[in-house]
This record gives sequence, C-alpha cells and structure tokens, in this order.
Amino acid sequence: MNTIKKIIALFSLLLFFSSCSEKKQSDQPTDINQKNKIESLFDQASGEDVFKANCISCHSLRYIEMQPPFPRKTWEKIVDKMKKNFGAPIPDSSAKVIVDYLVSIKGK
Amino acid sequence: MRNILLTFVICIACISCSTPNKKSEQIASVKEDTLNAEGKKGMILLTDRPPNYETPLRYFKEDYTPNEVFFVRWHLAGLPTTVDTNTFRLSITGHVKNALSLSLNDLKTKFKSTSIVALAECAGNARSFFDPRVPGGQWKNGAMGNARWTGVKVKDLLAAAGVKKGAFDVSFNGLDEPPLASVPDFVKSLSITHAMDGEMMIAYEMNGVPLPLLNGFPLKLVVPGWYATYWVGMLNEIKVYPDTFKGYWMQKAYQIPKNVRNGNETHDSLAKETEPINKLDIRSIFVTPEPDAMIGINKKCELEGLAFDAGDSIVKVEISTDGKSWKIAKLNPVIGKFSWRRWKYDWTPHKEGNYTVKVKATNALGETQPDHQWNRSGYMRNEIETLKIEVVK
Repeated sequence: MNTIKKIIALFSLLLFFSSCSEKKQSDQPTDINQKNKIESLFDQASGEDVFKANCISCHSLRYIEMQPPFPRKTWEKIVDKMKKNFGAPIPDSSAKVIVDYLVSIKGK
Repeated sequence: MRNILLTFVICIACISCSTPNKKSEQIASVKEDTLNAEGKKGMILLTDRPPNYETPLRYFKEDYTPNEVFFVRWHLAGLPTTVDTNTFRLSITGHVKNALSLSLNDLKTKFKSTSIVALAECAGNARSFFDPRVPGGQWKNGAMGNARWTGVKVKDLLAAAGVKKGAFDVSFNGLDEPPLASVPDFVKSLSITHAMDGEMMIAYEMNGVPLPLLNGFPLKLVVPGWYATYWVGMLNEIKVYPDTFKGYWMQKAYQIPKNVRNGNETHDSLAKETEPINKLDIRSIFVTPEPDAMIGINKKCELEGLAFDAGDSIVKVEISTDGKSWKIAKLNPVIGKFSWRRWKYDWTPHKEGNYTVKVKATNALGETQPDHQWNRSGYMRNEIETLKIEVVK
C-alpha cells in the first residue's frame, strides 16, 4: 500500500509539472483556429501585462498583430486616439508603457 | 487504486502527446488563419474580438457571395451571441407623429416586401494595399460582397411613423454595445432625404434566407451605393432628428477629405477639412488568376474580375498587359444597378517573363480610376489595380 501511495505521489508530482508546462504554452484560450497563437509570440514582450489590462476589454491583441510595423510616432497617435476618441481610460503612465510595448512588437 | 493509477498514466500520456502536436499546428498555420464561426465557413480571420473576417478571393467567382463566407465587420466587443426573435423589436422614435415598435412579424406582414441586389463594400476594403501603409483593419479585397437583400423600404417605415415637418437626419443603431460606458456606441446617420429615397431598405433576408448572426441578424440596413459602414447590423433603433445627428461615428470617425475626388490626400499634406464617407468610388479588381500566378506561354489565359461603383453604371473595363496600351474587356450582363458587374478578358502571352497586368473601369458619368490614391485612414481604395503574373514555358 505504501508503495502505491508513493507511486501516486510521484505521478501527482509529474502531473503537476506537466500541467504547469502545458499551461505556459496554452496560457491563452485556444479557440477556433488557435486564435491566440500569434499573440503568444508577444507574451514575453515587456509591457504586455499593461497592454492587456488597458486594451483588451475592447479588442484582442489580434488588432495589433495584423498591423504592419509603424514608427513610434504612429503608435503614440493611435494610443492617444484610443484615449481621446474611443474613451479608453488609460492613465498617462500606462500609455507610455503601452507605446513601448507596441513599438517592441510592431515598431519600425 | 489501479484505476486511479491508470487514469494518471493516461492523463500524463495525453498531455505529453498533445503538446508537440499543438506546437506543429501553430507553426503550420501562422500565415493562413481560416475560421469556422457560427454560420460561417473557411473565412480569413483578421481579428477575433470584435470579429472581423474576410472573404477569400476565390468566392468572388460567384455573382452572389455565399452567406457563409460573406465578410464580417464589427466595431464593438459587446456583441450579442443570440437574438430572441420573439422579443426583438425595431423602434422608430424621435421627430415622428407615432413612435413605432415593430416585431419581425410586423415587418414581414404589415409592410410590402422589396428585394434588391447590392454590393456591400467596407470603407476600408483593400486597406492593406495602401502605400504608405496606414493603421486599421488590414483587409485585402475581401471586405465586400454582393447579395440579394429582401426586406422593407425605410421610406415605408418612416411613412408609417409619420415623420414630422422639419425632419433632418435619421440615425440607425444596432444591438452591439460598447464594452465600456466611455466608448461611443456605434450609431450611423443619413439625411431624411436619403432615407426617403425609396432605395434604402431594412433587410431580413440575404440571398433568400435570414442573415447570419455575424452579418447582422435579424435586421440590417441596406444603403445601396454607399459604403458598408452605413449598413448597420442587428438594427433595432431608428431615430428621426429635426437637426444634425451628432455622434462620434458620424462626426469624428469614417471621415474623408472634403470635396476631393477619390478621397485623395498626401502624407505630407493632409486635407484640412473632412466630411463623412459616403458613396462608393468606382473600382475594379482581378479575381482570376490570383496574384503571382504562373501561366503558360502561347496559351489563352482568361482574366476575370469585377467592376463596381455607386450605381451610375459601369460601361467600360480596360486591361493593360504592357503597361502602356489599354484594351477593352468584355462585360457580363448587368445584374442590378447597385451590383458589381463581371468583366472578362482573354489574353494569350507570347513572351516569357514577369508581367504587371492592370485593370480600370469607367462609368456612365465618365468617372474612372486614378493611378494612385491614398488617405490617412485607408478608405475608398480605388487606384488602378495591378496583378503580377509570370509567363512560363
């Protein structure tokens, strides 16, 4: 019995680790067409958490992914437009982080 | 106990198997993302939320774009996933004598039904071809579609509501909602004169069946000859105003350079005055062959495509295979005033090499397409299209 308990414990541990590593790879919901697969490439970019917190209530990262690279000035204008025209409640400190993030993944 | 162990083993096996599979899938499909959503099949995914899906070019070989691949364009993430047809009502309020609240059954039984074939083209169709590139939905040519729309005339609905004297604008709102209170709701407006012209209609059918949810079920405004930004989907509110409707989506968004042909401006000198986008520009595209096709030397190649405008009648389509001279293409019979019109041109190249073939359309008003067109928002793309073809032995 004891051996079996040990084996279960070992398997549980294994399962725990494998599910952790699994989670990392499919952190985002994998929906029809693995819609977030490209987003995951950008997961590591700094500022991604700030982008998510401020932007994705209205639109997914796909909106950025489909864009060609743009210079910082263009991204600044876009973030400003989101704030002023589209009513995105982005604090100035976050806006800068978001612009940096956008430039890091789709900058020119 | 054995069963538990077995379950663990199976679990682990599944996890370790599924991981590499998923990886290879990711790599394989990074470029071409197709989509099978509710009522849709095999579309090109631009964005998931809000949903924006493009029609693959090959479907434009058909005169009527099939509903399941008809392009999808929404602005607001607050999009209903179902509509209860028993409780759904279309309201007509504002500057009218009798405000109305109509069920789908009311629309189908109390008003005369009407049908029209009309092309819906997104204002930003082909934005990804703009040079220099502009931000926005990066559509190729698939943000448009031709369909037979069946429903009721807006004129008849407004007559039933009894528009008061001095009516000026009419606004159209759908069930889609902003995800945050600070985001402006998507509401479009048109002049009362336009709404009463007898052409504008509210469709409950598209190509003979109810609209797919993602194309605006249960009701869609159809504004023949005008860009599809006005074709409000899931339409449930019509309001008449005695003055100008002041909404974000009319006064700030969807603006084009004022009184400028083809909405043209340059990057260095942006137009100072703008106006809401309106009628479709004249345009023509290639459907076959697809870009970068290889064709055989001394063999007949049938070039085919579509030409369209705001309803002023396409009378001529010309093709250039040498970059200098223009030859007349054959035109298929007219489907409808506001439909696209198909053109065909048989070409037999006698020399190997890379060709840039061009197409341009002319309408009955003499309007034709420019060599270059650009504006900051990437709207109304209509510069002369080019198609790269390689002729091989």
